[in-house]
Amino acid sequence: MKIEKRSRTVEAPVETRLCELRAACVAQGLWPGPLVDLSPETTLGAALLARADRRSVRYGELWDRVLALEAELPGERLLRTRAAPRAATGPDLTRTILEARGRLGSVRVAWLRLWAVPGERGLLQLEGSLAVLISGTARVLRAGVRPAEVDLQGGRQGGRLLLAFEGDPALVAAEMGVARCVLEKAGLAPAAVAEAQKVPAVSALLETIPVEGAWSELPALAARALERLDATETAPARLVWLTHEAAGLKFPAPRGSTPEPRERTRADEIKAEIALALVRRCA
Amino acid sequence: MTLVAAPRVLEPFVRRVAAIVGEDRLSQTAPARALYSRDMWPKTLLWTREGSFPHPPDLVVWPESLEEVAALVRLCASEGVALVPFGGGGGVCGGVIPLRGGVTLDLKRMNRLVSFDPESATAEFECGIIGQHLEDELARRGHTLGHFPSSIYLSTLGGFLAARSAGQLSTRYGKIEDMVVSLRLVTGTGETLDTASCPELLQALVGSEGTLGVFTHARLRIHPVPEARRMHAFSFTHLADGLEAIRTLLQRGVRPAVVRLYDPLDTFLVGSGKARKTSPRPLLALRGALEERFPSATPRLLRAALTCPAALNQLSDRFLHRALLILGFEGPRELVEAELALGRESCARLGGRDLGPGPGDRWFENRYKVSYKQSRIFAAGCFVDTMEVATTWDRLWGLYEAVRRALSDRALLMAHFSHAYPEGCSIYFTFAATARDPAERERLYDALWHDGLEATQRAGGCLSHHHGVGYSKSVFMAAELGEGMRLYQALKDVLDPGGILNPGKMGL
Repeated sequence: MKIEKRSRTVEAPVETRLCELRAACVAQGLWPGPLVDLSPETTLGAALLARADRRSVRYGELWDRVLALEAELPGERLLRTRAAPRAATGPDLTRTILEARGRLGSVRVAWLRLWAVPGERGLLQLEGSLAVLISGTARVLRAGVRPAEVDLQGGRQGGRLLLAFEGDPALVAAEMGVARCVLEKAGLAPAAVAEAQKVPAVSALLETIPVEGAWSELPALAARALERLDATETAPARLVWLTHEAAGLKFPAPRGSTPEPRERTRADEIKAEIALALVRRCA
Repeated sequence: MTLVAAPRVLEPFVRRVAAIVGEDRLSQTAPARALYSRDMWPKTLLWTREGSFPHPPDLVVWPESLEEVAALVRLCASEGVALVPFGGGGGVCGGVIPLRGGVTLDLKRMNRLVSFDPESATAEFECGIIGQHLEDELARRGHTLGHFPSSIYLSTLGGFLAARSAGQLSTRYGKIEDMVVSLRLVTGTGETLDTASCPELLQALVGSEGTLGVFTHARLRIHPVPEARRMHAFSFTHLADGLEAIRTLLQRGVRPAVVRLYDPLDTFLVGSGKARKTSPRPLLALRGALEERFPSATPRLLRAALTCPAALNQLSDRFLHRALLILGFEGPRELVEAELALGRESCARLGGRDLGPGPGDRWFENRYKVSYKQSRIFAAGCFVDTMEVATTWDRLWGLYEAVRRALSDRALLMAHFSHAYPEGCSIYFTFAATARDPAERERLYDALWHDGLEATQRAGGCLSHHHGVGYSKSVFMAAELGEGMRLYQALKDVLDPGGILNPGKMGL
């Protein structure tokens, strides 16, 4: 593992355990953003394959934090993408390799972006119906602020939204001020809360129905999903990912339901053809 | 004298094209074919001045729908005719030059706003829309894309996506690849593809410069028109201090919309917000200053000055040291004020003298003017071009020095640093030179590009930050992508098996 403090990057082999990665960065006053390590043995490679963590607007998802990578292509050919902040040199091969999840090549080393360990963390919390909370989240994002964490959960009985802001104290105060103003204009009443006061999140849902869509569609999609739930079901839905324009929620699945099998699409065929073509090109 | 060679596609092929789009939306006239044989690559300006149009298309076609594009691509694929997608022709790397002739597909008639969703902050456009028209459509609805390249009046959305373009406010809004949610395109087989159903392919297609598909529609992230905008300028004793101010500011989490740090020669020519009006480009400022003082002798003076570039660069190094930094912030008022305060603090800590809003406001007013004045420099028997490269902060100074060492003996050279990120920054070099005759000018032009890009790659920089690769940098792609070139070729094998799309570009 090699940390470059001036550019705030770390070069880490995929075997690196996330807990070690985090500790090494923090020792240098740096921070790799939120990492989902379900066990102390979770490695960077596993997290990259699983596309772990998709809820941070501030830090982006894990793939957004990969500046460059080294991957083994078919025929043991080694691809190393250039560590530039952005480039206009054809397709983004870093992203293409990550998106393929091993079909095109296996990642060996990743160069990750780092941040300063957050100097300040501020929390805003509000309660309301699921539709109101979805709309509130979209409004905050449209205003141009970037919460480090967005935790939204709710069901038939209503829910709560927690927004966390991190970073330079002056920016945290300004972002919280903007978010509060936006929410209040929408008739909502957010409250600043301390870490200890926040309503804890429910435990992970095992059997779930995913609901995904643009922010404008999501309240209606969520309402339909709530209608389908077993009347006795009490576990709330959770926001599992979000972007500027869309989000995904997961609802607890009604008992006895089975997910519908996904049909093979033309897109799947194209991806398979690309993998085959790469094998031929590497032969 | 015929300047444009006769078209090579046969009459039956043209009739089949006409059956798709109609007689009035195709052309084989010499003027049309000459116009579509080039873009804004300065070398094509040299060719044009010599009356040379070496690579005209055989046929220019203006489709109006995805269906027409698909039918045209299928026809070209079946006949093995090359096809080049063409937006506004504002590229600067020769990306749309039809090296194998064939059909040039001008997409500007596909310029509609397809959908607008303010709740999700997205809008879908057809890709032939001119950048400024796109912004006008959004502005009427209280929104912006936040993409403002200096070519905005003559470049299209499809061109932005094809070349991974960046606008002048990219530090806040990102580059075009950060703004696109999904693409609809026609592949080289004539098949239509929507990345909404295969998001994994989106970033493999963006930046492919017409080699993997013809982009017809794009859904984009948009933003409400910002509540506030503040421009502010600072003057630093040394360039390195200005760079350090940018780095610390970005790494504190501040996202200015505008970051432009001019090196000493660039600062001198641009003016520090005192007497001269801030010009967006230094060579034009030089020419403007000469025009003011010696209106009839300017071309001769400009040429004379550029015959001794090494001496001018040395004089600059010896006597010029100050560097001008322009920062701009926009967004919610409260956030803008907080970011500006942090900007002032970061600059003050590194000795930056506060110049107030003046220089930044003047830059903002004049920010697009340069694109329409370059030919006057060529008319003086000189040439000017820009090379935009990028790397991480730890390598940035080395990259700046390496390119200066490679070029400063033969060209007047200056740079500004813009498009900054927490992990690195882009350098925008401007170089100008002259030579005795057109042939020598072209040789010098090629040699400067070759040596500049070679120095860039040796110093760990990327070949291009936002102009793309096109034809001019094509030979450097193998070194740039390494084994990655095989992956790009694999994408080409599947999406354009006949190799008809924009052949001869991107090192393919």
